[in-house]
Amino acid sequence: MKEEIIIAGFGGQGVLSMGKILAYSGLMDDKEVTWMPSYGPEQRGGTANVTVILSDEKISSPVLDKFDVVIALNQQSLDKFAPKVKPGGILIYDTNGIHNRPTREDITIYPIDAMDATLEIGNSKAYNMVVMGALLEAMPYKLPMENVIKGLKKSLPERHHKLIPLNEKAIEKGREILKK
Amino acid sequence: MEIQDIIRPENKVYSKPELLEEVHMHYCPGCSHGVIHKLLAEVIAELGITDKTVGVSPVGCAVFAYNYIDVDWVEAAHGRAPAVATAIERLWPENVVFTYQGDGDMSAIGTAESIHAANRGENIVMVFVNNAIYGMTGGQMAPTTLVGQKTATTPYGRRVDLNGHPLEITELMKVLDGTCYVTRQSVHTPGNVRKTKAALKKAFQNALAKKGTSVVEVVSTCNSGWKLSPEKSNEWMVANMFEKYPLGDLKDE
Amino acid sequence: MKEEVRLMKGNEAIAHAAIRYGCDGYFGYPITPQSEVLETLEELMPWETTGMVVLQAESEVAAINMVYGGAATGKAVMTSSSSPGVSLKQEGISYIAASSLPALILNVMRGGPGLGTIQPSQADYFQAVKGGGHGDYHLIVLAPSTVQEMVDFVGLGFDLAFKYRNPAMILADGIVGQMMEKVILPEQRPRRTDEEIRQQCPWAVTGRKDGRKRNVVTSLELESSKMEVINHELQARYREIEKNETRWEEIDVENADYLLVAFGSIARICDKARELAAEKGIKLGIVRPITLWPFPTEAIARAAEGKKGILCVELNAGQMIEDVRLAVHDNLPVEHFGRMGGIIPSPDEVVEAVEEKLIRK
Repeated sequence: MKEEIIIAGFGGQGVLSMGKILAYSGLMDDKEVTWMPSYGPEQRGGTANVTVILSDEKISSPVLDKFDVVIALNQQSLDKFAPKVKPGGILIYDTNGIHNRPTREDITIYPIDAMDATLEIGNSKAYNMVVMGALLEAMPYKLPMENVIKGLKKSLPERHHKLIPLNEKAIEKGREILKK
Repeated sequence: MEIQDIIRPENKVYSKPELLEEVHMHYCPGCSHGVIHKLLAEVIAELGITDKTVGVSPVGCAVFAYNYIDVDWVEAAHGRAPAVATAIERLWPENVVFTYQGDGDMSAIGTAESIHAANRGENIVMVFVNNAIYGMTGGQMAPTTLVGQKTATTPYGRRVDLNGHPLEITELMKVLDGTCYVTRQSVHTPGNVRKTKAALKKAFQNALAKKGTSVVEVVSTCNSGWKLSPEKSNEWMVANMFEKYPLGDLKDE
Repeated sequence: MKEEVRLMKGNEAIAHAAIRYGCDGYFGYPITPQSEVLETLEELMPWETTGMVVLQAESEVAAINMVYGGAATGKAVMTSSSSPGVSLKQEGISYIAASSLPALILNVMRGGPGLGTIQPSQADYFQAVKGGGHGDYHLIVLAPSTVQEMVDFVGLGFDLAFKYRNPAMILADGIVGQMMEKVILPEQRPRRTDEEIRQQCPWAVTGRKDGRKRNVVTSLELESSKMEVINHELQARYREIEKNETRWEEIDVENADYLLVAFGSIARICDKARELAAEKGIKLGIVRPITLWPFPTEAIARAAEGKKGILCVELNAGQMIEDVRLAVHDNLPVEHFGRMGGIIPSPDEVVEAVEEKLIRK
């Protein structure tokens, strides 16, 4: 098994930390993992993306041209990375603010309304975990939820552990909106 | 009376300090370095810290200080002695570490290292030999060169409009919270030699007691660089240097 | 501390590895993209556990001279920086090499020249390998390609530095510094006691205890005949290091028509390129120098036998390629492909470069 994933959006959307939680969850599931960020000098508001690779085997390049799964959280990221989904791969994007929808027919496309789903939960910080839930549901590799919880615990500082139930709820919400 | 009758232990009035090596010093006759080395050798022996003293020698005339005083030494790059000393003291806190720096080392190329080591309050002794000139490279201007003083690079005398003002680095050291003892001495008379020795001893005791940084400036002569006889150099120093660099304790906490 | 599996950035891993390998002191100054080394050390507070000294110096210059002072006392000390900061350290590095002191220096390279960019680069190859400071000296230069190697090379770097009394450098790029990977942190290696240091490093400036003769650490020798002897001794040691410590990795070299030679994280991009090229029927092999000095000259010459060409892939304008050309004596075409200024080539670009520069030519 090998999943080559890129998560792209604005800085401040939790792109890098989602990647980190995903990578840690993979690690807890005994996978080889690589998390490779790329971002502008801005702390917030600029574009940010992170490549996460989960694999049974040793991982070669952390820099990739094509991905099994692309998650695009704004128009700019969608335009840039939709063409980079491998044929037969998966594209997940947040419909919020998207005016040019992807048209490829050789891949599976999941438009999700993650922002609305996050508002339903009532905590905007859980946005990236809603997206993560959608990813976990869509990915052929089924990451056991117990290892995702372990990954959350490992990647969040202790003082934020009280937020784990909220994150769990957000992940469930993400799974639900993908199934729809 | 035969000479053999005079050479007896009870008649001995002076001996070379045990920690001074049996070698010829490379310093010019009349240079202050020799006296300051002797005082350091005496103070280290008297405090009984020979086995835990580490000296850091500079680039400048005192670069070979490690050839003369029988303790462990590191020879630092120009200006970096305080940084070198910082690490030695922090990694072996039971040792006593001193730097020996000239005016170029302390107040030109090594200003940052000197100020910051003192500001951190490193438990070290900084011996600062200020003779207002670069002796080793042939008598060029130092930051401490006096206004009007002739050097190889100020052949018509130092001009404030061209070269700026003489730098009072020791006064800067005084205002730093990390320093516990800042003093300015000289070694041109027996009385001043005794005072300098007492100052050095206090500085080493401060280092032993981990009280912070001690700075002992010794206003010195450079008769070769100044192109004066040793005697005239002393006179010139008294007449010109002490006004800008007055002797005495600047800080003793 | 027991062995532990963690996910972390290369820079963080360096900090953990320093503590676990029993490093005595770290002296550094912040510069992107490696500031996490100092930040992580300050957060871990090793002075409370192993007794390791950590100090934020006033400059890169001060930091390397602290390393010089610390190394002179026989302690295992290190610093880290990124390209512009490492340029500032060069004088101190020359002193450390000239004084035959063990020390570890990490350079997480960013794009230059000048202040350049904060993105990854490999443009300090010449500086690290050919001697960036003055005089005839060499560093032992280790090029990690994974976060695990960042950890392992801290241990290896210190071991080699002490074995040969010579400074070692970990020459990493911003990729391996900033990416997170699974990493196995080694079990805590105890710091050597002061008594052990006195025994193992009789040359060290530790205070002349028990009536031993005084030790002096210096790189100064004004008599030319003696200075030449010192140089000969250094050169003899370098020949010894070349003989014993050259390290490299080969992937699929035997079946290949063409070779890719790359170091650090770029070798991994080349590995992916090898897979992609295979789909097109192009057979690529990879030689990854692990020690950039000593350089695996003979290994590359052997690997090149019977091949149709070599592509050196580097994040620079062509630096390591000079050593590769020397290794193969123009017996086959050696071409360069590189990106600069912080741009990282993708595996596809590497395959295209092979096609354009080696196959179609």
